[in-house]
Amino acid sequence: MRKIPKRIATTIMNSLKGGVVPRIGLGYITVGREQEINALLKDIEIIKDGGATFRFIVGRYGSGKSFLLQTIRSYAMDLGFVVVDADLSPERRLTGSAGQGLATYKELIQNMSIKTRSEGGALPVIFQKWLLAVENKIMEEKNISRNDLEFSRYVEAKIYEMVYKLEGVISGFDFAKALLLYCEATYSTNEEIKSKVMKWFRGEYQTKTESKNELGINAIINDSNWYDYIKIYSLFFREAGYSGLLVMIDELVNIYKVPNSITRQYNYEKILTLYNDTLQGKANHLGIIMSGTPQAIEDTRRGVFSYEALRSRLEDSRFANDEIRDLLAPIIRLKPLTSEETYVLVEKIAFIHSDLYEYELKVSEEDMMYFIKVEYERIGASKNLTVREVIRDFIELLNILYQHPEKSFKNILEKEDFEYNNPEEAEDILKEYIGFEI
Amino acid sequence: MMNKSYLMLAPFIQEYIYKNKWEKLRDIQINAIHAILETDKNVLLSSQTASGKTEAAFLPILTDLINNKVQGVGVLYISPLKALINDQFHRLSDLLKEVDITVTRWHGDVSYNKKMKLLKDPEGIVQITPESLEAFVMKRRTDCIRLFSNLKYIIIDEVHYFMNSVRGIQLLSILERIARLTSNVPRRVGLSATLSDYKGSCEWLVSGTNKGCVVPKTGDERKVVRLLVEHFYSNVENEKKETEEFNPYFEYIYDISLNKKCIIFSNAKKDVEITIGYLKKIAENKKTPDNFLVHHGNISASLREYTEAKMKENESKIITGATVTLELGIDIGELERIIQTGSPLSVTSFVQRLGRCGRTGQPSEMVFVFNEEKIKEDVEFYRLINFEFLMSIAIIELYIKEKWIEPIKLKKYPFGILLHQTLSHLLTVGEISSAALASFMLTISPFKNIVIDDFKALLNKMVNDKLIEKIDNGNLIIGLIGESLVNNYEFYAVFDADIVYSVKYNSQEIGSISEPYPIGTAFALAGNTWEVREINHRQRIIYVNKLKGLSNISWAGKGTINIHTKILKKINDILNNEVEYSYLSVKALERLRECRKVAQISKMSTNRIIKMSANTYAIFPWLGTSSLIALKYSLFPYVDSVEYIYQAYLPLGLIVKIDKDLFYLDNILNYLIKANIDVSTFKILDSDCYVMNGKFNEYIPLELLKKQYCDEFIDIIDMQNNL
Repeated sequence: MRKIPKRIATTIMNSLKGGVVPRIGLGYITVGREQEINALLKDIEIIKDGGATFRFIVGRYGSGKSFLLQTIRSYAMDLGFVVVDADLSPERRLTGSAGQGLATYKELIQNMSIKTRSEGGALPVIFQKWLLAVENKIMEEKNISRNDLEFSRYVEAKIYEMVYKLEGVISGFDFAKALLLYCEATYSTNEEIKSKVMKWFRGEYQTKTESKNELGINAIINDSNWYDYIKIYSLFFREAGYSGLLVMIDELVNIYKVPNSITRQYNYEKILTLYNDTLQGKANHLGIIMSGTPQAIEDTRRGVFSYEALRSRLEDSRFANDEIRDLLAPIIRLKPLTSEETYVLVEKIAFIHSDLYEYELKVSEEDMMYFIKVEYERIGASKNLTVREVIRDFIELLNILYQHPEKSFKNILEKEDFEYNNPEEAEDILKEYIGFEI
Repeated sequence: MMNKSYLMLAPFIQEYIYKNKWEKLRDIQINAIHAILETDKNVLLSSQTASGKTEAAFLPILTDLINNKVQGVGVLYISPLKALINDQFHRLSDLLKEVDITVTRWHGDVSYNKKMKLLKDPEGIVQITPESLEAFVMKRRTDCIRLFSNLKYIIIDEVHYFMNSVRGIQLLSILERIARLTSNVPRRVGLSATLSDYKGSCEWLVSGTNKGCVVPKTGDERKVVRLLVEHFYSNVENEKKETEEFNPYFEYIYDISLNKKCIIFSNAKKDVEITIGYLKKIAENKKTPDNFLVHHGNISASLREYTEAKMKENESKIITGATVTLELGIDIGELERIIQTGSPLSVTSFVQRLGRCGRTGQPSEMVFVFNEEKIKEDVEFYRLINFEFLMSIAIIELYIKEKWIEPIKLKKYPFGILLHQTLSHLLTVGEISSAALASFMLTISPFKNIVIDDFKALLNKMVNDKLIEKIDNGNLIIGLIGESLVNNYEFYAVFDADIVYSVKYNSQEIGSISEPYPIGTAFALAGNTWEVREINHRQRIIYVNKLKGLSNISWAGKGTINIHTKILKKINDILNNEVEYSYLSVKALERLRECRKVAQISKMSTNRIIKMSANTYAIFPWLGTSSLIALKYSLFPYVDSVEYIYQAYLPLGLIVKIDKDLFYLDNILNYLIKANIDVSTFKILDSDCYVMNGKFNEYIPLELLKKQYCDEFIDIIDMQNNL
């Protein structure tokens, strides 16, 4: 196995120990999933070439959905994409009467990432870079310097060129206006206007009046139009030299959980719009990936499939089954990792751990097999137990072993006070009610 | 003392007292100032209507609010009625004119803008009903945390009403849910007009707060009460039945209400309508002004408010026909007289109604009026006695002579409210594991007697009925049927909206009534008397048999009415003694004598068992509703059959068939007094459970309903003590 930079190894260990998917270094710990990753990388190619794609990733709790999304995310950034992602929640939906759609938009913009800004907050950087690129292009094309009197005129002309391109699409006029304001503010070093324009782009203006008074733009990004702006971003990013925009929305189960059938329908209607746009070529350079549990997607009473127009479009091909998978279909189904795959993962982690803390790995193949066996018996016992908890247990074991070299792996595992990680620990449950199930 | 207390109040309140020329603070006000400002306990303020207890609570609380400003809302005032809130709102606004404390009303009729203003700038006092508070917690979780995290006081008005109502259970549950959401347990201040059972009331008020309770003393302010009981036979003086032109009963009511501002209380909405209808006709004939209004649950809110506003006008001589809806303490100006048709259903209700009258220093006047048709047919002897009439005397005696009021019995198994609160909590949190849900719900104090297995049965049925559902991580969310329930504004109220049962004799529809009487009950409808034979709860149909004789007594109130044993014992006592009560009119006294005579001849008031025919016995144990039910179930294994004898809602006794002699039966009764009777061995009839009120009963497993029924309607100990 190749050597891993310490920074990445530390991130991987800390993230996995905390039960979250690391945002970097995923390649070192990926097991299986070749087919799925390849299918999604094909999509990335299509987007780069100007197309649009839409995929659902469906898998049970702990089947590695988030892991797969993170993997694709870092691939896409490496390939020059802008990536935005958001987890839905009771407050963040695709649309809602109390701004729940806009909340998702805000989250997406906040998490906007590019290769050099992989932790989010990339929008200002993208604007700066774009402006710089425009300037460079002019200097190159016209062979003039920044100090040239004609320079600013050329820049302006170039910006307008861009603006004209955007004005043709829905809401493009307002976006272009905001973009112009941004440029003007940059050249006149008016930081106040600049931060207000950024506020506008982030969807934080509450009323049109407010926006009009402060910026002269008679429109705001709101619950009903935020997706139009996503499409404009994808155009703009392309013009600004990126490969395209990848949108990832996780935890669709939050739509399923909405206790109001009409609200659910509105949200599924929004998904249908997104889906149709990508298929009918109304969007370009845009990829959308949504993910959720089988129930959230396939339940015909309140899941995505309760919306007839989506169900008929998304349902499996009659020819596909467990053996023959159709990876070109809009839904990609993930199977949980097998115990063999988990073994490979555990092995990789053991290696990274010993490499990181610079010690000789004492855990034997047999130890790891034994550990997997014990954990899989637990998984059988509880539906909610996933690979996440298994990995956390394993790292905990490695940590103890590292600090107490005199002990053996089996020793620790068989000691009664070893506390296995369990889901649900965040909730407030009195002792007498623990384990209550209906 | 007075001066010291006065000086403890904020300057603007002192000024208000001075400006309004209050001569002195009343005892309860002085004691409340000390209880609220010098302790950190809950406070229960109990004194009669118009004794200034609202001020007693607000003066020191406002003082505290001015002296120690808090972030967010400082005081939550909870009232069972919107009208009461509006009333208090105007009184408070007056008091707070000079200072910077906002009062916000929050209920269905308050405009969106006013509510938004509070959300933007939460402060001061919020007045709310339990239902609006429920909606708030369900739908505005984050606002709830923001507004109430520093809440200092919760004032609960009409505590006696809440304690006796399912709305009270709901209220306690909501308050505990808010306390957990905000990690803040505010002090509670309870206001009540009629309380006898201080210990029980304190227990209710403090539940879930861990703060204890002080009860400031009231002064000894005596009130003069004038009472009169009048009685009419509608078919004696006049051979024509139901004459349109002249009905002495309604003429009498007309005469005693003429030019007086008064309320005519009846137990049933129908009776209110009939009475007011007659009075209007009489007034029209006599060319006196049409001053008649009605106020009951079927009247639209705006009409009721109009009535309240009209009554408040000082000089208006308005006569209002009302049911229980006017019992609570809305300020309706100074009434000159209360008229009661039939008997109130409890001593508590009587005291409430009496309290509506004679606000400042004047005597309270209440006239009871009875009207019945003289039974001429040959019927069972006990039908010749008007027990409702006797009950009114019993109630007067118990309160006036013995100062007795029904004790409060808290419900041990309020499954319906648990179901309601579970749905509401699920909507607040969105998703929760079964274990966390159980841990949350079963530790709320009104649900503390409910065991985990019962909760499990409830949840399982809720899953089956699609009220909730389990998602694939094992957590629970609102189900498809559940969401149509919680998204309807009617969900916030735990009491039933009006349900109508249609009454059928064979296949012929007789009419409709608003509540299912127990099987075997006789009631009047469309000029005849009927006996309930069978009830179809799903289709809301009551099948009846026709009975001989006429009864003017109609069943009243909602659901099964639980009459206390003490009232039945008192009725027995009245039948046995010779006292000529001073508040009885000549005709009423005459009717009492008739009743005593029947009782004497039949020996029903002295002999526990009376032989009716071969193998058929009547038992008159003089037990309250839940004790009589206990006796019926206890007797069940020993006899061939046993049925209730009810007169309207009054439990009189049992009809027993047994192939043995009277002494044998008597011995069984003696045995039952000492026997170790286990309620769980009773085979509770399904139909008995359906009689119980409960908006959500259809979603509750029958076994749990039976358990609830046993707790609320079967009292073995009281039966054994009083048999």
